[in-house]
Amino acid sequence: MYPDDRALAQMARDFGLDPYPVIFERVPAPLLDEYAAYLLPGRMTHWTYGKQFELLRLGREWGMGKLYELVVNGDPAYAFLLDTASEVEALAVRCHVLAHADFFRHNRCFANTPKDMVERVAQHSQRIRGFSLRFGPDAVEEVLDAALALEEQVDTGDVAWDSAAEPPDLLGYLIAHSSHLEDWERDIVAMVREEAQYLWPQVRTKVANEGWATFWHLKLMRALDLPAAAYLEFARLHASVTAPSPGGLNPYALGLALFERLWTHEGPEAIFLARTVEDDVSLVRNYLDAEVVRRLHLFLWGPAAQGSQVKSRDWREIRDALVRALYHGGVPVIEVVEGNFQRRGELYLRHRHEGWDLDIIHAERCLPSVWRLWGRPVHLETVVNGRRTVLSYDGRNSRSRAG
Amino acid sequence: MQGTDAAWALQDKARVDQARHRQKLRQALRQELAQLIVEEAVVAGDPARPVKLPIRVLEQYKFRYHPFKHDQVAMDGGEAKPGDSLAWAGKGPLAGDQPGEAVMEAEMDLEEVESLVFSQLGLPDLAPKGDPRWEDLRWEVRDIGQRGGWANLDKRRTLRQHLLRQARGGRAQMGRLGVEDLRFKQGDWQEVLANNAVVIAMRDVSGSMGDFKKRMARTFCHWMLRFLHTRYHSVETVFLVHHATAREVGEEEFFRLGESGGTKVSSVYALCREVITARYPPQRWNLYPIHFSDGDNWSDADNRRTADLVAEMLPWVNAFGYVEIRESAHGSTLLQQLTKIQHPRFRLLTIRRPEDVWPALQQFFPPAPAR
Repeated sequence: MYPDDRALAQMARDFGLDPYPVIFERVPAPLLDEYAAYLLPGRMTHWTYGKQFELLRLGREWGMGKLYELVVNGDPAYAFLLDTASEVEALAVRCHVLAHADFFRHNRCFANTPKDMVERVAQHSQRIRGFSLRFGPDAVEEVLDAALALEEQVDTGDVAWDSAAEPPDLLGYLIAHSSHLEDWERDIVAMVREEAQYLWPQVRTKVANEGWATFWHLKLMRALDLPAAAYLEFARLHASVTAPSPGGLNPYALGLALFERLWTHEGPEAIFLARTVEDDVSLVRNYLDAEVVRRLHLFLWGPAAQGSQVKSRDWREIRDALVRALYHGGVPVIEVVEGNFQRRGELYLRHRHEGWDLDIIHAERCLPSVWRLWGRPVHLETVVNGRRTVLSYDGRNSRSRAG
Repeated sequence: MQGTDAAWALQDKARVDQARHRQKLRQALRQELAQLIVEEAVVAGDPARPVKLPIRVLEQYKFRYHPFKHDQVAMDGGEAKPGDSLAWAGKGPLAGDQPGEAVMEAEMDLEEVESLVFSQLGLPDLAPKGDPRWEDLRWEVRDIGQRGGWANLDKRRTLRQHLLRQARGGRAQMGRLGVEDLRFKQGDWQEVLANNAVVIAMRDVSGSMGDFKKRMARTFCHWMLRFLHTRYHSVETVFLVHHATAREVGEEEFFRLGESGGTKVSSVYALCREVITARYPPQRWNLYPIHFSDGDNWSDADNRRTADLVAEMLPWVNAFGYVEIRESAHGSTLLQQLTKIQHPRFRLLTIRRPEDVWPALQQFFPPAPAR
């Protein structure tokens, strides 16, 4: 009675969407949690994924979040759907997934992502297993610990750099210039970087991608002319997906509001253009206005003399703060300044301070990871409470100097 | 077949990685045992039920922003106005008192905590005591033979025999298991001496013993009893309280009582001696007297009397503990008096902060030296 995969895809195309072919598979909850923990099926083994898996499982058991799908960006795209979802829920989720597959195909951030990543990570996993057999699982884990701690440092946010130039990101620099890494260790770091680079566009387009998918599951489901009871069931699902999370920001709700505003004021062409060219930062910067802020009840809060306070409901301030938060996926940029600091082969890094201080405790505990991959003392320059500060680690001691 | 679930069961990588994470968490916990064992949830918990413990998640450190130093955007129902303070802020899942100190409620079996604790304690002077009437029967393996009941099949030896036989035939692999490979455990019932222990817990209930001191005494006793239960067939307990005079009370009263009045420590040690001689003759019982006090005693004369009583009882006991619980840095006159007693079975312990309970326990039950 409901349209099958082929009919649904045809319907999406009639609306102007142009998704990759999608292979749908219904899987039990534990497997869906596993795929969501690893983000890609068949990925390499590491305890951080196991931790993620456990958190997802606990979240499901405590009713704090129910995962319905996971889509893998590729051609074809793979979509894993929760097998206990009702027919109506599954239908809505498939609409949602088709829009993700369209976004992956057309958004410019994904222009260079490999389309066969599932096969690549399977090869990575195989290689890691081989290294574990040759060098021992502990040695492999130690390198993975260090590399994964830096996995977010795969992009410096500079738009223009061609692949022939020096890799400007920290992981890329370590792979290219560390004289300390064994071949197999360098291989591991390179695999981590490749996977992180594949996933990075998804970090940068969380709001846009989820907003786009939510916008279209709403449109397609409305066009399906469902019986009232089924529509009510869908409405309930939609409401839970877009519900405000207390104290946080729901990317589904925010993205949906932005695309709906664009649709209402500027029409279909504008939203397809936005889907192609915007990432989260530019989407918010260009389209968040007073209307959206009012509709979503957005507000600005922050530290005050006594605890935390609501600071503002002014839409401009909110827009600017949000752009700041979304910049570079919400991750600080660590730049490599030089690899032969004071002509002693030491690595000098600089946090590109753009208004927000680093979590110093985390930064201090990250430096041993950098040191593990570099093999010589490492330094990180940042700004703490307005003062220039340099953190150092030499393999034994951490140091912090101000000024 | 059980439907789709069984078909997916082959994929167990997530479970392997999950187990590795738990293993690493356990290693981290081992270092935080001092904090863990004084948790109320652990001490008062029902051993059959898992407890939720505040445990720092095994954090993966990455370069990130300070979570609370800058303004952030959130959504609500539209009710909050600028200037309103936020109750929830700083209490999110990422929040702790300090940046980087994310606290997560992790569920852990009490048994798991206990096994972790017990793996790092040892029994002092474990001497079997008891008269012939207290014998126990225990089935013990005496021999390995080629015949026996299937329940007694020794699988490891059987497999070994089989592989040896295969090797003799020049085959380095499993073949068909034959009757000649089978090995069975053979044994019989042995009479063994029963191990029985008694803990004589003594506590100062005079006015100077506040809530903190009570809680520390209770925590220490809890672990002591749980640990002894794992090592002895039976553990009996006697609870004695004292201020200027001493008396025997029930367990609940022991930890709850708070009375006013002065303190005469010798009174309770005299009562302890009486309890031992009348009810728990040392040749039959493993004795563990332990005394909790803040050390504020009546007089120096009583301090000396107390020390004499300790010296008298020391030959009878497995370990005698004096636990001084006080928040100030220097010890009492009683502690000074007791320091003069040099005896391998006498343990002087001090607890100033909750974290001291764990080292005190380890001092009382020193772990066996690593092999």
